[in-house]
Amino acid sequence: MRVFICGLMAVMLVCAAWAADNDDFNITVTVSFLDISLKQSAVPANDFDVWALGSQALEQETEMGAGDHILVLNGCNVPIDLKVWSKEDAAPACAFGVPTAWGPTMAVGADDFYSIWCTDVFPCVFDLTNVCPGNDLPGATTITTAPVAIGIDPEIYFKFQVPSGVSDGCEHTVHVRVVAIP
Amino acid sequence: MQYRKFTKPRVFAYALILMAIQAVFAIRVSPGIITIRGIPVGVDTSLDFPLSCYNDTDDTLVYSIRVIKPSQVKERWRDGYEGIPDTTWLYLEDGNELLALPNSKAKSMVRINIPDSDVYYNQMWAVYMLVTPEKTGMFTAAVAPLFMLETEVLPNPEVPPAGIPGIAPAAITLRNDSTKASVMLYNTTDSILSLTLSTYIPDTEKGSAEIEATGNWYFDEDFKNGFSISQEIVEIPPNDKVILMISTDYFPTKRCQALIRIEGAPVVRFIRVFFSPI
Repeated sequence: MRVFICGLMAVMLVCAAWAADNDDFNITVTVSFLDISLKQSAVPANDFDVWALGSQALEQETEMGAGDHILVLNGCNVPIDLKVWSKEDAAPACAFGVPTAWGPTMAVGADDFYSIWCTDVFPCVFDLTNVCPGNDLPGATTITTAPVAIGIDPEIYFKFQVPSGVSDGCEHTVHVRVVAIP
Repeated sequence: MQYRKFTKPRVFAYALILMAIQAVFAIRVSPGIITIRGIPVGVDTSLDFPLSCYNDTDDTLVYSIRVIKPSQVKERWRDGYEGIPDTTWLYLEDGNELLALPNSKAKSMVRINIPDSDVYYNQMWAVYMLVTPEKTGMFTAAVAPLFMLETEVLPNPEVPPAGIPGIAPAAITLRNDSTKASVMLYNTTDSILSLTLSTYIPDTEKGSAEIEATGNWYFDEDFKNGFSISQEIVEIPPNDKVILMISTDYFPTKRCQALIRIEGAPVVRFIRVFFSPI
């Protein structure tokens, strides 16, 4: 019996040594967290909680200014790409009926809005290649041409243009997602 | 004449941001970048770590998780890793929505289920999990943690492994008493594959390493210079294979590793070369 137990232990030790080979299941966490916040550029302690455009004329354009744009607090410990995408989710019915969701496009149209970003210093150039894509994914275009380095907090300015025609008079909320991708 | 109710041309549209005060302006998710090696093929497996979403607000938040291929959000990602063939293989134990109570975190274990095929051994895949809070507001912060997945090594697969070139095994271990090893490179295309091979260690500058030294097998510059490859330029005929011999004259006293970088194919690929003094 002792021989059997010793033999079993020897087999177990061999197995343990063998298991400590390069092909062991193992995990390496390179970056513990991804962490970004959207803040008011003028008062970085405050969240960027509202860009209230109010009532807008058809095709009206509004730009974020030098003092009221977005500061992205970058708490990531790795260079990141910042990307955006936008869409309008289904809005609740209003007195005018069920609203038709506005779609993001390269140029405004009926129920099609247009949002675009630029970055760095104000006034920055709103390049047409930086129109917010409208899919459920951010797409390949990044906000900054190079990855955002650790400790750098980029500033983003948005421009928004109301559709040239609307099917309803309901209030609309456009959603812009700012995503950090290592 | 047809009339639609409330369809008079309107002078004004509204772009009011009604719910912005409830929007999510910050997001913190763990892990950020993670590498997992030795993932079993053909077995539904827990990867032994959770995806955690930290809710630092006073509201309950729902986080939507979507697994995406790198090519869906990047033109170029980490060298050595191809996009995962099927994003449904990687998933969260608790589904693709996580609910986090105020000032707490939501977490769910990450699992993977790779189909049982020799094709999927020896693979290095990259995949993102896009995490988006589901609060209605105009601006929302989101993040996409990166997962680098390496499947179990299989030295002699019955069919060529996926990838151009297919590699088997994708990792080898040299020892004091086992100084040579062979690796098969497969060309599964219909044209000649010309490859350049070199020993390699990634840039270890913080945050920029494209491939990680997993476990306790540290990258070692001396070992990188101390082992040799039988061929540094390889031409593989269509649908054929070649054997590569790797040997070492250098014997480190502690566990270490270096890489063989393979260039010339559509994506850069790597072979991990480990040294174990025991």
